[in-house]
Amino acid sequence: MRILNNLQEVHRYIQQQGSLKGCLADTGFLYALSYCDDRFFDKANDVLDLLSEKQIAIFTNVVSRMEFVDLIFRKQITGGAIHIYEELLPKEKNKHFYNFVKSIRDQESRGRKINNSFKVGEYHIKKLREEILQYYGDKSWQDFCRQFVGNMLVNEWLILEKEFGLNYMEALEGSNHEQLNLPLYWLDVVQLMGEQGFRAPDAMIVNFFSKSKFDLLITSDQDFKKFFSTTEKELNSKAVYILK
Amino acid sequence: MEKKINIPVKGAGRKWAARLKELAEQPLPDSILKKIKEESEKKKSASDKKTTGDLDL
Repeated sequence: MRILNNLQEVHRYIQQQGSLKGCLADTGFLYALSYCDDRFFDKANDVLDLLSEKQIAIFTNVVSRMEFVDLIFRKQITGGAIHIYEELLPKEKNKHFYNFVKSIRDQESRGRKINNSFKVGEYHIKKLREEILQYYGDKSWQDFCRQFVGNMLVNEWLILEKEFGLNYMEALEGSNHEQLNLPLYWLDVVQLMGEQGFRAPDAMIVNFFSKSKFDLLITSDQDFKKFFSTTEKELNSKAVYILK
Repeated sequence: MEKKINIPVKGAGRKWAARLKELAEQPLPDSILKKIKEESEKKKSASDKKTTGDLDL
């Protein structure tokens, strides 16, 4: 397994391989393509342009698809919460709510300074929904989501996937698939989690890549480096580009 | 029928990043903005009354 460190090495690898049927990408790469406050924004977009030039499709699994849309949802909600903060007065009657949206704004600002694309988490979303419904009425949360997320996700999501060159692969437990060298088994994912300490979505990507016919994996996950540097010889022709 | 494979379009990431940013920069929906403005007006008028009262004294 080769670790590629920059775009030039990716370029060279593609040339050496002749052509690639497709490459595998994880959620971190997809998110980095989409938000300019992500520290890998430029690098991710440079590699996307290279894939476009070489006509190489991007594949991923449905878990990454779900993670990707969820990250976009969280980021858009973050933007909306900051708008609420900007409209409220510091002497707001509901000081608690004012401080809550201010804390979201502060975390986003801090993240921006260190190129860390801050997104609200589950706790923030639940609390924001609760507070918005309480202070602005029954339809306010729905209106809020429609404004900052809904229009795009509903009307433009499929165009985004098409233009990113995204393709999703699903394989049933133990079954053969045209993109796989070996069938996928759930217990292999569990084993990777237990032995390597990967979280489930990462373990699924590692397992998928190891058994797929894809030569190249693009990821922003630095934890993959150690694992792939020490994997079996049969994966020698494969390469991983870790954005850094 | 074989499914059509999507191939990346050059510049697609930057194009969508700009679109997502534009979406995040939209104004708040009317239902929320209206209530915030109402609340702000109430506060302003309460504050004006208080100031006038002080002057009368």
